[in-house]
Amino acid sequence: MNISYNWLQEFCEIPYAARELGEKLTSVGIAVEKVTYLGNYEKVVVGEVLEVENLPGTELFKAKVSTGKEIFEVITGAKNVFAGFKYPFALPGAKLANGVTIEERRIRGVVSRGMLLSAEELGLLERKGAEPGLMLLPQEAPVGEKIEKVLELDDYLLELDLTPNRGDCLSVLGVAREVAALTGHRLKLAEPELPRVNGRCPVKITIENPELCGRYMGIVIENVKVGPSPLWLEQRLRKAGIRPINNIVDVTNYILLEYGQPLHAFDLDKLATPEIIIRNAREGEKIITLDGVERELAPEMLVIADREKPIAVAGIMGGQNTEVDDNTKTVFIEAAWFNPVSVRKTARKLGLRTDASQRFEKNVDIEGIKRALIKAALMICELCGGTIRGQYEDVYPKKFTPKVIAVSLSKAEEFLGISLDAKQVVEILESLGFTVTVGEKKIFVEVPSYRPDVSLEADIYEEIARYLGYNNFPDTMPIGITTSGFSPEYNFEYKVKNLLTALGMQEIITYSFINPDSYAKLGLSVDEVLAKSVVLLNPLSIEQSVMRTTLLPGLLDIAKRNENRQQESLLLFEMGNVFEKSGEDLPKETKLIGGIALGYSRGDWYNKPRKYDFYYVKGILESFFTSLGINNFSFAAAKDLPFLHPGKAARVYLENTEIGYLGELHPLVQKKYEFKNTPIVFELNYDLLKILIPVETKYTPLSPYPEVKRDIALLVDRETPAATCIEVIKGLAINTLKNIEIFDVYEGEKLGPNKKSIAISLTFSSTEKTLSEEEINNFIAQILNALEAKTGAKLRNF
Amino acid sequence: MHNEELWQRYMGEISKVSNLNELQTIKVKFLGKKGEVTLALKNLKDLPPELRPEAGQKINTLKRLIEEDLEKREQELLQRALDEKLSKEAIDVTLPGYSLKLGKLHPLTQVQHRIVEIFTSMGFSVATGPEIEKDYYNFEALNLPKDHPARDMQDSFYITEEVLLRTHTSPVQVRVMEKYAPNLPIKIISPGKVYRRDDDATHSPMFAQCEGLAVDRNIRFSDLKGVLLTFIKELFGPKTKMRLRPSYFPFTEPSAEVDISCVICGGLGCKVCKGSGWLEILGAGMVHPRVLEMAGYDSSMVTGFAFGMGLERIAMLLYGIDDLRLFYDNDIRFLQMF
Repeated sequence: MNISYNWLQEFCEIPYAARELGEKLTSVGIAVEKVTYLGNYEKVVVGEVLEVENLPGTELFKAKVSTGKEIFEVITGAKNVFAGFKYPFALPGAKLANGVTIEERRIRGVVSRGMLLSAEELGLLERKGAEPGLMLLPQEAPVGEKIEKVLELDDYLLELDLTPNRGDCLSVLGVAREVAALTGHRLKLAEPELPRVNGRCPVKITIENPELCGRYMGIVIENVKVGPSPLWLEQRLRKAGIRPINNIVDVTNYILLEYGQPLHAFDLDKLATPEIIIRNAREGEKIITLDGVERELAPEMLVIADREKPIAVAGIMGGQNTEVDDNTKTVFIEAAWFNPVSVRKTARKLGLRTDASQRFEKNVDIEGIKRALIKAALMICELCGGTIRGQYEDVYPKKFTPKVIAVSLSKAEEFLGISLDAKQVVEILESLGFTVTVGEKKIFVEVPSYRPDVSLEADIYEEIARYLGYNNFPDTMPIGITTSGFSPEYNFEYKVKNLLTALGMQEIITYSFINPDSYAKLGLSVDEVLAKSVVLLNPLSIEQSVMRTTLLPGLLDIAKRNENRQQESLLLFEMGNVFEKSGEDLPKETKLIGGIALGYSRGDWYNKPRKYDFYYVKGILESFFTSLGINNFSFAAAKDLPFLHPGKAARVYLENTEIGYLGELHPLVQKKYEFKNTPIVFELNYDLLKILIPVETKYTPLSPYPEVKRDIALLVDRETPAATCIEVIKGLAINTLKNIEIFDVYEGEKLGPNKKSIAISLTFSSTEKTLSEEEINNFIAQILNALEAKTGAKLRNF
Repeated sequence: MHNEELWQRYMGEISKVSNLNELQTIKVKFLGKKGEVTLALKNLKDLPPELRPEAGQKINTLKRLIEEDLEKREQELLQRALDEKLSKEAIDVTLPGYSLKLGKLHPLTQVQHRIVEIFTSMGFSVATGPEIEKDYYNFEALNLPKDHPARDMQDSFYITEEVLLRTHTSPVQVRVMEKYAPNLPIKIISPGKVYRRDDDATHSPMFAQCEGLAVDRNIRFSDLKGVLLTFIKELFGPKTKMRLRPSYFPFTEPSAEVDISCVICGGLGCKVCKGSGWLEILGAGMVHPRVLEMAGYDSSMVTGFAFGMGLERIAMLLYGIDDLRLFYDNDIRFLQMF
């Protein structure tokens, strides 16, 4: 909403300059985004054309323009340049509001000194339907006068960013009320009176649905002459960003801007009979609105109709069938209150938001309707030469009764944390238009009809607080029970993320919605995944249309993006939710940790870069688990994950619970993504992980006796997993065997085909005694026997 | 004097010594079994007995002098040998160390953590909730019934008519209140991802928020100011000023927009604050009585305050980042700056 500073001054004396006023309004919650001076013209004046002649051989005209002091010869292409008329004239060296300068120039060999201007060239909206050409100024405009004076542009525009609760401030009057409260000056609001007229209103009004139309007023004006509005009226509309149309419509828009009450003018002669019915639309009913679009109406929409047809969509836009045009003689002016929710729903459904609907949606002042209607009628009579026929009609089924809120000042003090002066409180509220009755313990505040946003005690606290000034309140700390702020869940999550960074991984955050095509790229069945996926009804694009069920697509996309940007050492992780349909009210959300390694670990002048491979990432996961106190993790080959290399993939288990996977990206997936290097990826279920972490760590005494280390090298089949050998050894439950570590794996011709060697280091220690050589030898023999029996492993002879 | 001559000879030879081997040779030559000093001692017996004590004392003095001198020289030579060895071992300490690459937390996580630290130290606990929410928790229970014009302020992604991606973390507050009502006090903050149907240079369809809530028997509007001022000074520095402007949110009454003095220019006016000297960083207010009532509190007995902020905005101000889209672009060169 843009408000003219000069217009505001008609309602209230303002002791502040425009910018200062903007700051003051912002400080009470009427946010002024910007204050702009409108008269930024230099050397643009009223010019009177004295003579016009055609420039031979062209369609151009040579005009002699007087500024009162001097006569200028200019060339113009405008068709509407006539001797004896006045136009905006830019002198040589003139500067327009948009910064353009006008210089002398030579046109077809003739020097043109200055330029006659159109509205558009002045940065103003053209009248709707106007022939293109110069802006015609009224005859009484003084020749040589600065254009900003004549066009009332020596003014400031306040651009408001209103909160949705303050629909009352969508008008000059509404803002003026706040200005009056700010300044302490009286609001100058006249109640216009109709001249004495005889007879009833010739139009019969029937409200069929009083829920949706709480009040409907109308008045008939006959013998109007439709034409352009006077310049001052057009200028007021233009400054607010509304295009002038004709005097009737301009008056209705003027009232909308001034009082916030939308009006509509019907050409009464185009109604079937002089009857107005406010009713719900009928099934299948259609209307062509003023913008020329045919609209299909639905039964929940409210329309204004004559006996035969809808003639307007209530509160939103009129119909073409009853539009005021140049030949209109008799108009019916409507002023009404429509249900805000209904207008909002209808406007939404029709995709049609208008200046009128925006105001009805935010609740127009039901008690202000009459003032708006009468002022409009008087203006139309004055500007369009019409006369009022009969009285106005007012259908008002349920008269407005003001709310009264009982406010306890001591409670207000407790709530706000400031001591209040009763007299000052009453002053503030009264200056805002509330009527206050002071009782013994409470004050009783009657809320004016234009403030439907105020209904509770807290709303009154706010009115008091914003006028006392939020920044004048003390800064205190809450009194009461001390709370600890202890947040174990959050802290653990933060620890987990930090641990991953310490292991070299960089955190990323990607969107939770992904492209369903990602699943096809991973070699998964899109239909199957989508069947369990949460899908957005109104995504911004297909790329962001499905809630992810895996972090993998995000990781791959980001890794690819970084690879494209020549980043060759990528170790990334993300911790975030995935979503799946659940059959409950809400989908199931699971927090995962996903990771990707791509390229090389960064080398240096001493160490060569090392390619990230399966074991590199597995090492990260093992360290990660161990740091968290998890020792019972295991990895088992997984051949069936379609997006992973079947020979380089593993499922990850804690105890016996599967918590995720790790593996090299399948070569086909790698190809689809066009990765240069091979990504290693993993995902872990964090929600499971966090509950499987051992709660307590127990101390075991250190042995005072020496540890004995023995290394064995086993010859096994190539397919035998190392983990199986370890399991076999563990299965013997030798309680002095403290540590088993694989320190070498070797494959080579001299071992024979399909064989490999696994070298294992065993550490023995007892807390009771020094183990004898014989005891150790026995254990080793036991281990070798078991390994041979279960895996066919043989001790390798070097 | 014989002894004097011996000392002079020793000095003449020892002064030419440059390493431990040569030193050893001299040592043997003078002090060894057949060394000159040893021989001189042996020859004492050839002297007349009355001369022996004095001659013996002299030769022993000489022996001690030589021993001390040799010891000193040996130490010096050892030190020199060690110095030489160490100097040969010297490395170029200006070469970089072996690369131990660490990852970093995403800047939004870092900012979130700073905020969490400040509020947990003031007694607020972290609460979380689902990212996909019921319309009831996201809107209705926050005094935003269907067709409320303020719903336009937050254009939403819907899953069904009743289920949507949460547009703020406020539903967490409602869930916590519902769970604990009528118990008091509640002091929580709820950081998390939120979603709005907006995507341009200054809006991301997914972004991060942190909201806070305090509910108790005597929470005052001035407490909201005090807590926020403490937070702002901790986060942006003790000189930061705070300004509140009246505003409107359906779930708070009174409501305020909170500005801080510009972190770039200190309030003088610059490009970042568009010349105003102030930066808007959060919205806040006293919990609307209807919100308290719906969650199960008696609003005539219980009051509360709530606030909410966008983490991207705060990160941009703290780090001087000028493009919102960088946060979700995830270029590691960007991520590793923080």
